[in-house]
Amino acid sequence: MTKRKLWWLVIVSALAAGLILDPVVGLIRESLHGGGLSNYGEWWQRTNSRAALFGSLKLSILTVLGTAVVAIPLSLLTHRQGRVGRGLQALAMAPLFMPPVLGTVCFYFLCDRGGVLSRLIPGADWDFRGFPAVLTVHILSFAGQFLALVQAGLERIDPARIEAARTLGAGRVRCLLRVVLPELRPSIVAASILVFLASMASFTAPFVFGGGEAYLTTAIYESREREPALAAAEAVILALCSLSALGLFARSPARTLSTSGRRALAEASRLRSPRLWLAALLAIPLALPLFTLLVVALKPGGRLGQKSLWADLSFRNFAELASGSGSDLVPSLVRSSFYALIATGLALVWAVLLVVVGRNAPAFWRRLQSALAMIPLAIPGTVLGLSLITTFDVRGPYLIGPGLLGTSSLLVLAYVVRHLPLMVQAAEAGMAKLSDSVPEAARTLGAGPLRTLLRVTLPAIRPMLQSGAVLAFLGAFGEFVASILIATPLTKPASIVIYEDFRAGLFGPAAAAGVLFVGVAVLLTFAMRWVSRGR
Amino acid sequence: MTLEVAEISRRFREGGGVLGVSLHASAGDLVVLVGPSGCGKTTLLRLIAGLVPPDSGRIRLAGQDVTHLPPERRHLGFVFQNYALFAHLDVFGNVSFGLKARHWARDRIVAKVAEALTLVGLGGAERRLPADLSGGEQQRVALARAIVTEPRVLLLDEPFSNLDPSLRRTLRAHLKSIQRTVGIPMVHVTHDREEALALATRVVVMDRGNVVQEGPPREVFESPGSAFVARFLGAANLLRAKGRPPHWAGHPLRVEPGSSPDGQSLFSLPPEALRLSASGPWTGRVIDVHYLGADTEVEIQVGEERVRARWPSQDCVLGLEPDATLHFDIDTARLVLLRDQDLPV
Ligand SMILES: Nc1ncnc2c1ncn2[C@@H]1O[C@H](COP(=O)(O)OP(=O)(O)OP(=O)(O)O)[C@@H](O)[C@H]1O
Ligand SMILES: [Mg+2]
Repeated sequence: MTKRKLWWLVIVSALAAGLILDPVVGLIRESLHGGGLSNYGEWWQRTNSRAALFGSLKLSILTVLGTAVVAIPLSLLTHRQGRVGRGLQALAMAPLFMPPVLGTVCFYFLCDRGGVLSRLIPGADWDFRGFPAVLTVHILSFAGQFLALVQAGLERIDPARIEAARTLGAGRVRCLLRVVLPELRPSIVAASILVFLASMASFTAPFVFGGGEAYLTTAIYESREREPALAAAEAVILALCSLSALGLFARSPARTLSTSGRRALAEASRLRSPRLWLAALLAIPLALPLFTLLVVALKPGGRLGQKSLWADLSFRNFAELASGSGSDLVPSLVRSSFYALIATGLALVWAVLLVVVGRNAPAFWRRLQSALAMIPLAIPGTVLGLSLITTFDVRGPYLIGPGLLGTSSLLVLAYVVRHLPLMVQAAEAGMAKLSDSVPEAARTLGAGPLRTLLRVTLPAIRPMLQSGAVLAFLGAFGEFVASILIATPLTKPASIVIYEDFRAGLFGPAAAAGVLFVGVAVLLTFAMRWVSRGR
Repeated sequence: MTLEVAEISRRFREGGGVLGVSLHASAGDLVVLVGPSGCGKTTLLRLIAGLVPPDSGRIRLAGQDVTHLPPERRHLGFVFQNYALFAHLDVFGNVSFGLKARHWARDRIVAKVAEALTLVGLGGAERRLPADLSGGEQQRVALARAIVTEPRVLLLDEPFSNLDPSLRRTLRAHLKSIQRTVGIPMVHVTHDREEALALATRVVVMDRGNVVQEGPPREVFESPGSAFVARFLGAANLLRAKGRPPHWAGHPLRVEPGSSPDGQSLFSLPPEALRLSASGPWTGRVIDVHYLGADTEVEIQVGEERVRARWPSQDCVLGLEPDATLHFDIDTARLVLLRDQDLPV
């Protein structure tokens, strides 16, 4: 560790600490306002509060189990199954490309009384409210994420190791249990943490479909106006739960072995294999929200109406979107793309600095850093929005810098902070895959540290960074919860405009835009994969 | 051009490392490092390359102290044990990497890369990707990548371990001719005795971070200085003798051993130092006969002991086959008393 590198680290980490910890400190201070620690005692005394805590925990644990039960078999069933397998994976992961706010709206169209589901399944006109409803929405929304991580883990397993196990006399099942699953464990743990955190911090699903049940996020929202100290205490408790989950699982050490570096040959797909039918059974429900979006986009005015699901389909919404008449939709789409692009770029640079430059730092420092970078995951969007507002009201972090309230910079900043964990994880996953000797080889060949970074390390982890950046971009593009607190009429992002259009019964063009967006995102991703495979 | 390593040390907190190793290699020297797995061979090479900072000691390259120079300014070639190819670059990209880092002109790079690839038998493979190459091909790309920049010293960490014998011989010959023409010092790690014998001008045996013996290959292999070296290299016989004068398998060895308290001593004996002789004091039973081309190796059971003898094939009389009985003598001039005789064998 040279001195210059140490300085780099200090600067990068201080920046991270400023942007991430300052809001957290503000939140803690707020929670102690008035009664000090007794605020927490008072919170515990209320039956409602305890019910909210246990409700959130129960929901999140079951969500993790549910997504695991769907995603792990699905990824194993479709792994190396040729084109059909890849198609099913894409189908299951496509909802990942849907901006979050559209997802919620789609679930409404999908599951609500008179929605798509009740028309597809005759006689099923249930009341989609309460705990099972929220759990279903959670599992369907988060399974794609879980699947993506497990899939990446599967790709990373050296086929030579599986072949070695087979030659040692292990059958398929034994191979799965003794080699594949243990090697997948880090990915499964990471996916579980991510889903747990997302579920703890999820606001819209409990809010829309929760019925009378209590959850921490909705409780924070409800007490926000009248009892701000209580809301802050609840936010701190939520963050603590999430952080302890992070701490509990983040211990599994990443063991890496050099791989043979050779590609596996894909097995040919056999259409009639029961394996793929089973996979389809798991994948199709995950794609239902996307299907709903498509249907709604083709319906007049973006309303399902009373007639059959297949009646009155037309491209009128797309035409209306193209003419750009009246609504703020098109300008807001442009705005959001712009914000999301800048935010993703900043998060990318920041994450690369943290992970790549910090690689040779002492172990404790590295652990501290990645823990720090994960904190935003533990903070729900509402809380992050609120704390950014208080922090940047008149000053920046550490009492320096300009007040950014009301500017688009603050919006971008919120997106950066929210999506930093994703980028850090992507960079760390890439680096874990990269053998130390590869950048070392570059050094012995005469490349300095910067050249090695730009020509060897970054290109080597590019696939990981790329997929991280795509997810960050999509997340930032559709970010709703923090945006609604921070945005002003002049900086209003597309997610809010879409939601407002939906509330006003003008969902048609918005749904059309959503379909186009998902289409472009999917195409772009496939194009990128195709390009990197061709290399 | 010389490489001098003086008392270099690097101790890892988790255990292991290199503890005060000195090494000298001048132009034309090919030092072969051998030693059991985990003894610090790779670490020593990494110290020389500047990939690990030393705790103490100095490294000089061509008279220049490079101990604190970053790896990219040492101008040496390193072939990694796991190849460390750049997976995102094709073969040309990999081999030309060092030349580009040194800002060579494009047309010179193309020519030089083609030359290096031809040298390792991969001419025309410029556009292939590492992931599509066999293990041996990857290794040869790694070798080409290391030598193409004409380094001041070449460090090779088991570079031929994945190649078939004929390819191995070809590359060995190439390596030797490269070394003769370029005249740079090379440090080469291998587990292959034949390779060490064929290549080395000097063999350095390491154990647990220390150099335990060094010298010309024949000397080290056939007259190991310690039971550890003898056992590790496995080329010489180990004779455990008892009493004064020392007796082995019932007969005196007729040497003057350094006295040992309990009258136990351990000798090493090269297989050639056994002589077929009808009047020899020892009688043994042939266990196995290995035809090695010019030589034939014979395993002989002598009472409780087992020894290996090696004789020119044409001297091996007919009837030398398993279960035959033979008489032999020992060339006592070639017996070496081992220092660490109390080591269990
Ligand atoms: N970066 C490191 N951190 C901690 N310990 C290390 C590190 N590198 C090597 N070691 C330890 O130092 C010792 C020597 O390792 P080294 O790789 O030099 O062995 P080697 O002689 O090359 O073995 P092999 O023949 O198996 O390649 C080992 O015990 C190893 O565990
Ligand atoms: Mg080694």
